Amino acid sequence: MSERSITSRTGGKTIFVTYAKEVKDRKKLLLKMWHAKKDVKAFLFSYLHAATDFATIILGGIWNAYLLGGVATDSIAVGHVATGGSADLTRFAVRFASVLSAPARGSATHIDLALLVEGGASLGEYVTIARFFSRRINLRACMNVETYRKIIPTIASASAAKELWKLGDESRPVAAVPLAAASIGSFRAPALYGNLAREFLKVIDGRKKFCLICVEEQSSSDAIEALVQSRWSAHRDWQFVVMQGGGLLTKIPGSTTKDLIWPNCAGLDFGTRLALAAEADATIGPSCIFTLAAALSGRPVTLLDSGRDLLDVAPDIRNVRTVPALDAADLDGEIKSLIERSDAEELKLTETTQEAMMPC
Amino acid sequence: MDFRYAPYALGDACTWLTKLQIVASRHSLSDIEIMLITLPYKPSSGLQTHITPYNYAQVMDGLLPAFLCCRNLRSIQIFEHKRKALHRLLGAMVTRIPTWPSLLSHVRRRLDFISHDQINSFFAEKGWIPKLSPPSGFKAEAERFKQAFCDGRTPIIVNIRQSNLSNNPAAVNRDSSADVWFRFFKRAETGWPKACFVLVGGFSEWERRLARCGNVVIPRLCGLGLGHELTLLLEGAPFIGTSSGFSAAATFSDTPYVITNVEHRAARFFGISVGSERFPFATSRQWLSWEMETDALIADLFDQLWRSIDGKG
Repeated sequence: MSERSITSRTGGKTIFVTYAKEVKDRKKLLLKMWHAKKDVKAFLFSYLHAATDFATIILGGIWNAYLLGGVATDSIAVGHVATGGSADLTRFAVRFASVLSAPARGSATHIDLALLVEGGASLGEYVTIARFFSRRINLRACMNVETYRKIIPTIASASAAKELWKLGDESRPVAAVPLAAASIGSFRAPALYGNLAREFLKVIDGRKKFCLICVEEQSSSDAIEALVQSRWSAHRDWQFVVMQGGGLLTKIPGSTTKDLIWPNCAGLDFGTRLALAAEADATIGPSCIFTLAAALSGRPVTLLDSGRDLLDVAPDIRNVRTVPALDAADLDGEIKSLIERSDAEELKLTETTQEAMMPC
Repeated sequence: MDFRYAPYALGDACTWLTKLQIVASRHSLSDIEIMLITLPYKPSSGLQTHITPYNYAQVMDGLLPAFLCCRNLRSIQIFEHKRKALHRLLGAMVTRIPTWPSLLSHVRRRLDFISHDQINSFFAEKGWIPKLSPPSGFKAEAERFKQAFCDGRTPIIVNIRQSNLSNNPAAVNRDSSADVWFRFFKRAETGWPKACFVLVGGFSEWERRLARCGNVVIPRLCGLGLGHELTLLLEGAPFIGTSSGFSAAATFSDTPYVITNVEHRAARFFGISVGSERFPFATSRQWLSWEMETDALIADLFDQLWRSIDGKG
């Protein structure tokens, strides 16, 4: 209620005006006091937080240093020299899967990931891959060997650190990385990535099955388009998803029909594309991070031979079939066989492709 | 940066990085170590309640390239395990290394992530500020993108704030009108045929009609992401766009830019008055516009930017 309205309504009786002023002033004062009280409270609480947090830092820090002596079993230390590119991401994922599938590591809820990042490596992709192994991540990414060496003692006990030390010294791994049967089923999409990938496929047609065709980074989109479009008509119940090794498409495909799907054009980030590989019903392509994602998720995969030097697939892995590089006619036959395998093995997948709910 | 009280936002990350570099510069430290704390039981502050224990990791992954825009970066650490984070903080306390925010501010959960006070005072004292640099790991693909899609034209980075189109709209009063930008792109086809507009930002934050403009390319439609977009921007491709995350990245770089629709309320955080032509630390090819965009205004501003770069970028 303003002063003027009071005056006009009361015919100029000042007593009401004075009263209104008083009320207004009192309200202002109360508001000021309330704000001051709030500020004082916030100020005091911030120092209370500070006192408790300082104590927590000291005690928690000392406790962690004590546990580094070898008692801690809730985390696993994994190291890797990140050189970038699809081949290195694939090696990283296989090593990760192999470390985590060791029986003694089952109870660990956290991964201490130490990365030595070299020039062209995209750090985010390594972190995203690590998240697919259903553990919380503590990342230490170092840009040079000296820093890497300084950080290792804060991550792992002396015995566990031995392997991490080596990474900073040794030359890059060139041999094929063994893919063991125990690793299959260890790759699970975190909720959001998995949901987005599934939604993506559902929007296209929730009733159909999807075959992921992975192609080399260098392949031109025209060639891929011609290759796949000549085949999809033979398998009407299936739809084909084309995934390029690298993220960048050098040309937007002329046709992105519902039968020939290009996730790279749909704004899917790296994590969602990985989840898509894990969600697709069948996958064919050379060894790369996406075929590996499908294999580790337990999906039927046909690895074309070009990546033989990258992965050494154990013979007892049943969902992965490695074949030599194929010409167009053989490739069609191979896709047909893959589709049949997928139909036959669908029930078994329920054991391995359950998505992980992250522990809180 | 502890996300229990700090926001997951590109603009705030860029401001924070600049302040961190200023602390390093003040103490003559050549190397920077970034420590990010994202604890599952309290993944976000009250400002971003849509970020929960089930999705914070993906939000963090999406924002990670922004934290790599720092020249002297020695290491970056992300902690999801409180005990491990405490161990690192204890190390910082014992060695008394300078930090931003200071350890006291951190434990009081008081982080000034908006204001330019510290940056302006550093500039007043030294006459320069540390700039952001392109994040590592994206350069090769960003170059290939330019070659494949810009086709010899000059790439111009554009960001139109369209939070209202996203799943989690926030501060939509700061959004720009897609209509005026669409009309501007159409006008630019004849007015500046050598310009290729690279539309950056979230995949949900652009209208479909923009993808059909002949002079507009969208990196996220070609399989690229935030890291590539920041690389293009911080490598020096001129920027024009709404006051938002990408404009903050441009603000702390040498990239020529025009920032449109600067929020009047933000002037006090920037330490300038409403209507100021540029930030105190800006170069002569960097401008601010405080008015709501119209296609004519954008065209005028772009013409000014285009002339300043001589059509070359």
